[in-house]
Amino acid sequence: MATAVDLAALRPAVEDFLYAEAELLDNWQLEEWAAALFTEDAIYRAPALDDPTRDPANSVFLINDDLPRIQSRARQLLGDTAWAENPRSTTRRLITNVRILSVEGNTIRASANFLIQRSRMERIVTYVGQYRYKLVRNGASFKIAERIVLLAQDTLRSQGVMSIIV
Amino acid sequence: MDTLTPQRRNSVDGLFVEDTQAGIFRFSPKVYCDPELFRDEQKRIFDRCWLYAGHESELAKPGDFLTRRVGGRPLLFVRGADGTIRLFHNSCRHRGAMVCRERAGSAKNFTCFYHYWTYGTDGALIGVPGADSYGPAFAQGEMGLYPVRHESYRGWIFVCFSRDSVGLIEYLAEARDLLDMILDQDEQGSVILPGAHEYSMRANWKMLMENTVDIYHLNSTHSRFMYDYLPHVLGLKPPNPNTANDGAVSPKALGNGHAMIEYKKFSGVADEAKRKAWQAKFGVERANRMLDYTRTLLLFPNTLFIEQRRVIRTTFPLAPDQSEVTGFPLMPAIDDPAVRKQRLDIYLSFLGPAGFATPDDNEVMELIQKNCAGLPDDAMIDCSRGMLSTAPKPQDEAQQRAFWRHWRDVMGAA
Repeated sequence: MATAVDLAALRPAVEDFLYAEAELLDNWQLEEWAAALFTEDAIYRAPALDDPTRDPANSVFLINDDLPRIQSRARQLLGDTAWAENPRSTTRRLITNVRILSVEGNTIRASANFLIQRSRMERIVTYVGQYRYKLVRNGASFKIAERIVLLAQDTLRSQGVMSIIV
Repeated sequence: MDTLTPQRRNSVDGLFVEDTQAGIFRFSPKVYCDPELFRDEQKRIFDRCWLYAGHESELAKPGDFLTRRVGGRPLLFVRGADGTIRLFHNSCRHRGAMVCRERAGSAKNFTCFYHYWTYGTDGALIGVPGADSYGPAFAQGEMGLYPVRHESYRGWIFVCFSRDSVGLIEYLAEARDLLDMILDQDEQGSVILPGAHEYSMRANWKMLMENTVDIYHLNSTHSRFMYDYLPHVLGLKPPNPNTANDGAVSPKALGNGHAMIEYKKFSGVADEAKRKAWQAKFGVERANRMLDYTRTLLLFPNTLFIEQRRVIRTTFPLAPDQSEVTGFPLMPAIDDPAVRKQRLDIYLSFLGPAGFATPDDNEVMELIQKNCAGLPDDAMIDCSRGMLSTAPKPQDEAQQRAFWRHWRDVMGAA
């Protein structure tokens, strides 16, 4: 059982990892993001906005990707026929409030708040919410086993769509 | 009934060029951006047509309720203690405030927080603080929530804000038979799953009606879905656009502006036991159509059902260039978990704000919208594809023309 001190001691390394991930996404280095950061059984999910606790086997999510879908999503966005992102959005991600929730063996659960501004074709939209990560130690760094996006919005009516990786 | 001068009729006709001999069907981009047409659509279409509003499965038990804006009006749907589903304007009979502010839930009654007037699940006004201050003419028994005209067809709840419009069955016309063909496949009924996608587009609502029944754009607009996701994630060969839909019934106008397209299923082989049973139940030809082909149904004005993806999709305009879009997943009530998983994957891979197709549809519709108002006054949008063919294909535009001809009739009618 990790103590509060142990959890706090882990935070800088997790923060560095999340900031590096955000930089890859903002720089459109999606191939590196999809190829290097995930475990083989990774999931990337964004549950429905009205209830994040539902089972994806019996409800519709916004995103429910396994690794092949994560990699396809990245490839699609880098190709020139993801028309919604061609030309590409300019994004900047603010990752804050990083907290280590638990440590069990090599598995770390962490949360972080995010604010993403996306600008494209004279329009600016923001996505705000919280990430829930399950990270697995990988040498001095980590791999992502779960990347759950909890948007703090009751609809996407004002954003229209979510064409980037959030 | 409002009446229109002959000039009005001409002005709507003037938006269209239709020459059946030459095979030309064109319309002015003003249909997407003209503010006067937009106001007229509200009166002539959204205040008069039957609109898909919800599904009975969303209100499973007595006391279950949901609130939803339909045709711009906040509505309250409730299943009463007697099991009956009722729809009301979600507005207190005292000062008009919204009575129920939850999206969905279960309740014994509904209290407006302004002065604590309380209504039963049957809409009756059952509580008025200080009721003795009103005179006998106040008639509390007649002060229930305003009911909304509604009818259900096989679980689909439609509303109509006009008392003069024909009933739902007559309104659905031949689309009813297509709905039967779709819904008969769910032998134990169908249910809406939670997680409806609620998003929007900065484009006119009618573009979504056209886009959703457009097969022609699949290989270009949805290139990334067809040539990355299908082969590299699912291991499926993208269908050849020229031959993929051979054997499908031609796109059909179904009356009252409704239309359907039919196309070959991408994948999946029907099991032979099911085929035999369905052939006995529905006839050989119909059963084979149900099993080997899939349909997209357009219900005028603003509802679509994509059978392959199992989405009921509605769009409501907020402005000529701003529309809300909602996708409701309609799945068989009883499903094998592995099949359900596959259905959800087919749904989510393509649809929704973060799907591999919807954002690209939004993109193209928003690009059209950006051009509309700035084009030359006599500019035209072309919708002529397959017009000279006696057997148009789903990749033609006969289905869009069925929608537009009815829109033209409704908007130009005396």
